[in-house]
Amino acid sequence: MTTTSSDLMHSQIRDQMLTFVPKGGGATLNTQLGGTGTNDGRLHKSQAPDIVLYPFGVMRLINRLTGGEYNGERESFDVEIMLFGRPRSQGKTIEDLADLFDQAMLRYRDGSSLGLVFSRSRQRDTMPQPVDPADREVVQIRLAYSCKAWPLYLTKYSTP
Amino acid sequence: MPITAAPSGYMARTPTDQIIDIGVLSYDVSGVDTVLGVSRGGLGFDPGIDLHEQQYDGQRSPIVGGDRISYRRATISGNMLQLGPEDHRIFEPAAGGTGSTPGTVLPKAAGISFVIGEYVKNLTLTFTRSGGGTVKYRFPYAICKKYGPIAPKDNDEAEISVNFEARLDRADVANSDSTCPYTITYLD
Repeated sequence: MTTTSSDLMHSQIRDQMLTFVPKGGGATLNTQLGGTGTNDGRLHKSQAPDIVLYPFGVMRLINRLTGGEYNGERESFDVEIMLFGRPRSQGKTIEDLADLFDQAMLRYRDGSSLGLVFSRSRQRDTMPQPVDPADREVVQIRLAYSCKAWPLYLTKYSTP
Repeated sequence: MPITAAPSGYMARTPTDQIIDIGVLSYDVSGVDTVLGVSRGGLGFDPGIDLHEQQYDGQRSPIVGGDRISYRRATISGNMLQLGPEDHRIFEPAAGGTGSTPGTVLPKAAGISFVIGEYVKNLTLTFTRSGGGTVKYRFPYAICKKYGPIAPKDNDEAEISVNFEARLDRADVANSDSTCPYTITYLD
């Protein structure tokens, strides 16, 4: 894990999710999200494009907090995944994709001299069908993985 | 005015030398390292070291070279959640019995010294390190000195508090009375 910037942390957690091989084998999330190259599946960072193909996900780093007890060098944050499918008959497919995300982040830990990020808990919510005028054919699941990090970009005043 | 930063302990090994998660307890079953089951609240290792300080008339402070380890009562303790016959025979000191489910647990009669085969062999508490690898605290011989109360809870799993102590095999010629009864090993 290279933690010299938030963007690198974001990318590497995304890579972990997309490349994870599920228990018993099978297609990776990258493939199931339409990827044909290296981690080019439709797990979009921070926002979805204007024109989307289903299924897709949007990944954000949210609730980013540091505290004085670690001299501000330890960060807690959530990795939020919003998964979307369409039409509603794709509900099971989206739930199965969410299972894969859960597996990919189960006991996730990436530590080296370049920093440490780990996750040990998550929240998962399947969203209710929206009311008009929203697209009632869209199914949506929200996943949030609680993470802790000792990122290098916060070490200006220490000697890592 | 320039910023004066507070001192920090963050150093090169900070990301890799932390222990993440609770430990896993295992023991030797016919030469196979076998996990003892799930726990709650974390399992802890305490080396139980008693230091003796040499003292003499006129001494004004503890001195370098005046210390020695006088006793080690090393323990591994925590709360386990599983209680099958196999587990119960580990918790109940020197218990006999056979089988899984159904199975039996035969508590040992009082007043009879334990023999080496009745101790838990290679009880090991393994922690995961943040940079990869593990650290293992191993008791070549151990005994569950105290277990219980077995505490069932409404709408929750019962917890069984356990407290294992290390024992030294004095029949092993490699050991003296002073040999440490546990080992600490870091693995990649």
